[in-house]
Amino acid sequence: MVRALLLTFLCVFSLNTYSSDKFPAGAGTTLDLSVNAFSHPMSGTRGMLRRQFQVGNSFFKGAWVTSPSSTPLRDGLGPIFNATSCTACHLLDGRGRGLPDVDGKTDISLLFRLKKIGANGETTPHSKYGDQFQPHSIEGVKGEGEVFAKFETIKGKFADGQAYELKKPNYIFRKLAYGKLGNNTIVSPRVAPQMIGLGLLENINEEDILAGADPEDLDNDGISGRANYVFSIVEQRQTLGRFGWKASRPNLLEQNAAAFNGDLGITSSLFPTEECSLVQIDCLEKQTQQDISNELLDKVTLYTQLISVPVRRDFNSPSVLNGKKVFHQINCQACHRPEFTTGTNSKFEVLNNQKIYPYTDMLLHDMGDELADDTRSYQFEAKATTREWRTPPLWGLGLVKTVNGHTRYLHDGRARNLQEAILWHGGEAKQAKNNFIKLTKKDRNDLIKFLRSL
Amino acid sequence: MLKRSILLISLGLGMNATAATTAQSVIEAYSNLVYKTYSESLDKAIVLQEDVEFFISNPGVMTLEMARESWRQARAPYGQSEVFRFYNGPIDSDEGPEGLLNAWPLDEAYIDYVEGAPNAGIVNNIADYPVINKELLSSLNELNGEKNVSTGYHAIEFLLWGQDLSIDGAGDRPHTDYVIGLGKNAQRRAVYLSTATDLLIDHLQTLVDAWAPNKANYRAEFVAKDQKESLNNILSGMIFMSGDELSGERMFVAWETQGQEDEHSCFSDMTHMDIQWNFWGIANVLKATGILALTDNTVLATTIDNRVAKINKMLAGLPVPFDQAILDENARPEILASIEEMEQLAIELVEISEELETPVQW
Repeated sequence: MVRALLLTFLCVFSLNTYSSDKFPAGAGTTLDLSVNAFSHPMSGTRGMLRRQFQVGNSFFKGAWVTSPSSTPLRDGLGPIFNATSCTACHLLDGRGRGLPDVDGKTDISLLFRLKKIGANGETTPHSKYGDQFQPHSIEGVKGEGEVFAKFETIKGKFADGQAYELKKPNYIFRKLAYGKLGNNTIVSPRVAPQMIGLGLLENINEEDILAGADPEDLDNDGISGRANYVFSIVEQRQTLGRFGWKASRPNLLEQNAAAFNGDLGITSSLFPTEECSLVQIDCLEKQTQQDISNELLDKVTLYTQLISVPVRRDFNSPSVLNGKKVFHQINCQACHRPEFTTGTNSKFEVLNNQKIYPYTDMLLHDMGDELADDTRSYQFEAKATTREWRTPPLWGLGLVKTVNGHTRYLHDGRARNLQEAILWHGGEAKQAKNNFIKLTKKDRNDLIKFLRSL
Repeated sequence: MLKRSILLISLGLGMNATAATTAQSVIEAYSNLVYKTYSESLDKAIVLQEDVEFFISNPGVMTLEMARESWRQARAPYGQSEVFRFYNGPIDSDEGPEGLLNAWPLDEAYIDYVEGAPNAGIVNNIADYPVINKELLSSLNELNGEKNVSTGYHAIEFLLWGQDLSIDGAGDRPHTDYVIGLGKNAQRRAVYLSTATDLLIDHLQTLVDAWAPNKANYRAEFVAKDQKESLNNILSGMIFMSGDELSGERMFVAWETQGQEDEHSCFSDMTHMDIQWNFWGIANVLKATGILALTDNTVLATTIDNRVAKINKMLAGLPVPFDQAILDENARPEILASIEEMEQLAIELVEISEELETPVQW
């Protein structure tokens, strides 16, 4: 009945109806709150566009296969890879789990970027394992190895005396097929994030993002916010980075093509070379030509652009409203910027001129020693350093449990719930974290309820 | 085939004859239909198992053809069960066997030799997989897509037909692949085929158990929970099958890419029947449950009935095989037209869900 009323409400009122934070994705917000909540096209997508979405979905979901096969459109997996499909990690377009409950092997949805630090502090791809660790391989080629997590307990207390424990993962690389990783190797874990609302984030005007940047912290509030600038293959110039844990890709086309290449070993016109290092002879010998056509890559990109964001739940309860107030009181919004209005440049009308509530500023922030890839600061991806992460959007957070059956957060899934995710914050977010620790238990719980309503 | 059609029609008449259709009667009838369809899938899979065992102990042209025919028969009820998906029921919940039963397209080189790779696959990899058994095949399939598809209808299909390398026919695997001394690793291939068939039966059995009447199982929860939610599930299955999975993923994707691999049963060239069976599944639910009678909107109900009849006719008239039809300039408009009809049906079923105050977001 509630949903029926809501629907009537949607039909009767004009576009302005959607410019409320109940509808995080504006007019395209989906009402489905089931296990499929992250898998819908923008609401009301019909006809040819919905079918193209299906085509993209098919190539997102489907397993890629070893060449040669009688399925040439999905052929070219590997030679080394993390997974055979996008879905394997973005299960139901949702979020990867990352880590096991206790010491043990990491989840498929957690990958590792690798860099070697040179004598002058410059970082380059690892000479034996390349830019990314790929545990799996096609027949006749060796996968690179396995990664285990061993946890260390960090204890802390809230101001009211209540104790908490965090579990810090230490990563152990085993069964390494091409020798040791060696000293001066930096490994950066990355879990697969949920796929919702990406087309809207892509359509935010660059100047609106840059307006929030304060790289030198001139306003002296302890929060900087830096834009990453990356080389765009499509535009052949330096441009604003938006996607990936360190904002290292400028648009969804390049993000998707890079993921196909690094994660699945699927080459494209944008990334024509497999990730085989010079010592990986079998890998080099089994390289394939361009595996995915531009046309199909475009359809997968259309798919990623049109995935909707679920409507908020319980947005008006007193505790959620109090939680929202607390969110602002302790300054979370300094990085998790609640709203943007999208630009007008998308070919999909539903992405244009929408008031959206992603809770991200799309900028890089130093998140402190505990979350850093290395406590020193090295450039890791384009301008982003080992200490910096792009503020991840908070929309959909409360539905991760429904869709993926877990409540693991942060870049490697180390936070076992939303409270732990806040407690891991450091660096520029340290003050906000300390404010959180000082809150009353009720305010802490209300803040979590607010986050869960997103 | 004929026998089953008659059976379903009579079931439908039985329901329509009931004086008052209520939400609860719809839910009960739906549960009966799900149970019946999975039970029939299991029965047919058991026949398939018998014929597979007969074939591998007596490999020959005729025994292979018998096993293939049993596979075709086994697909018919399963294809009609796919409308019971898309709402996190026993088939595709986290632990559900959907991926183990019906995943496609599959990496055939992961299973057995293919053209250009005579030593490929688990069948030929004695070093890594000395013993082929249920545990091995399930473990190789179930790691969240980490590894490739090694089980289910299409794995069995590949082992019976082989790659479809011909323009106008299905795959043509020789029966000698299973003759010890002639086919390379014939014994292991036989064990693989037999094991995959056993697993099919195990997985179908879990679905039958989940929907069996008078047990503490999923069905008991389904008939006891909020009626609107169960109706929403029933409608979601039909809407997503008609509007996305069948018309979109299984037909439009193939229409658009014109890729043979995008047809569902590519080794046996049975995709044209997969399509019809999937759609019959939707028609079965409408008929068996009488769900349209829950609304006062008789105009909409009649429109839907007529559209279902029209789509059934259109799908039956599509040229065969499907992998050639998607290339044929005369057939392509017909395929697209049937896709558009199915989308329209989905839109109308969404309207029904709105009238029943349990809107399905589509």
